[in-house]
Amino acid sequence: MNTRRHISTNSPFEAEYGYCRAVVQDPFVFVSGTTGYDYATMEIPDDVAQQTYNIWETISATLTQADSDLAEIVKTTIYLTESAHAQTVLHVCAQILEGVRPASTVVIVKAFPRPEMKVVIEATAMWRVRTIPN
Amino acid sequence: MWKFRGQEGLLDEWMHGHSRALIQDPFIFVTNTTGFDYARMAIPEGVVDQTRNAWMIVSGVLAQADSSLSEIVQCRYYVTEREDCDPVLRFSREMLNGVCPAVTILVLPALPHPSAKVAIEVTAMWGGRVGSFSGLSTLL
Repeated sequence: MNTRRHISTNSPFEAEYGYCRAVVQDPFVFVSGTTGYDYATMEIPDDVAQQTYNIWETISATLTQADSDLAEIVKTTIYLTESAHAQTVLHVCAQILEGVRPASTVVIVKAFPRPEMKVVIEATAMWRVRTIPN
Repeated sequence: MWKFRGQEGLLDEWMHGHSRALIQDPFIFVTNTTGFDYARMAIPEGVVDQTRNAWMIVSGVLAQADSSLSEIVQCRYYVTEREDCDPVLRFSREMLNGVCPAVTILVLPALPHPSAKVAIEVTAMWGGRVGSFSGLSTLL
């Protein structure tokens, strides 16, 4: 399968800036850096743990649309603006990705595009359909 | 696995021991690229001008490596000021003209070159076939 697929959410950022939530390109699914908005309502909670849960909801739904799954994740990069948030965020990630154990990098950055964003997660997963024999 | 030395970046790459891009079929990984104009050894002041230069370099490298902007699947943009996110993303959208990659943008305290305000890291599909690479003379 060589066809590239693009997965979108309702995020106005995607429409405005011409990118998508994920690109499926055999054998990988590349997921954009994802923030803690509920993309259905475009609301973002103040709480960093809740932002992290929202991010995983979005990534999980995106991977499902891409015929992949959280269990297929091979790499995550977690970006934070405060090292004080690391433990909280990593705890949520460990809960969500229990048993998946991807290669993971945590980076503290200066800022994100909007001040309300406290955590951004980027993921690469395997495209699951490829592993199913015809 | 092939390494590719983009001609614009010879000095920088020799000094720092990396390649401008690396091909691992079916992907090409392009090194993080700033707006430094290697021909003139200068970097423009404005972030949009820097973004344009960076895209010109990336575009040239992809073309030399049997790929193109339309084969890009993932971009990471690194800027040094939050207010630069918008112009960098807007200009990049024009450059990419419907390509629609997976994108992450981050604001960092600084980039290694003190005048650099933006750096772009790209992963694309490599359109070539092993054994028929048109840029053999520039392979490491």
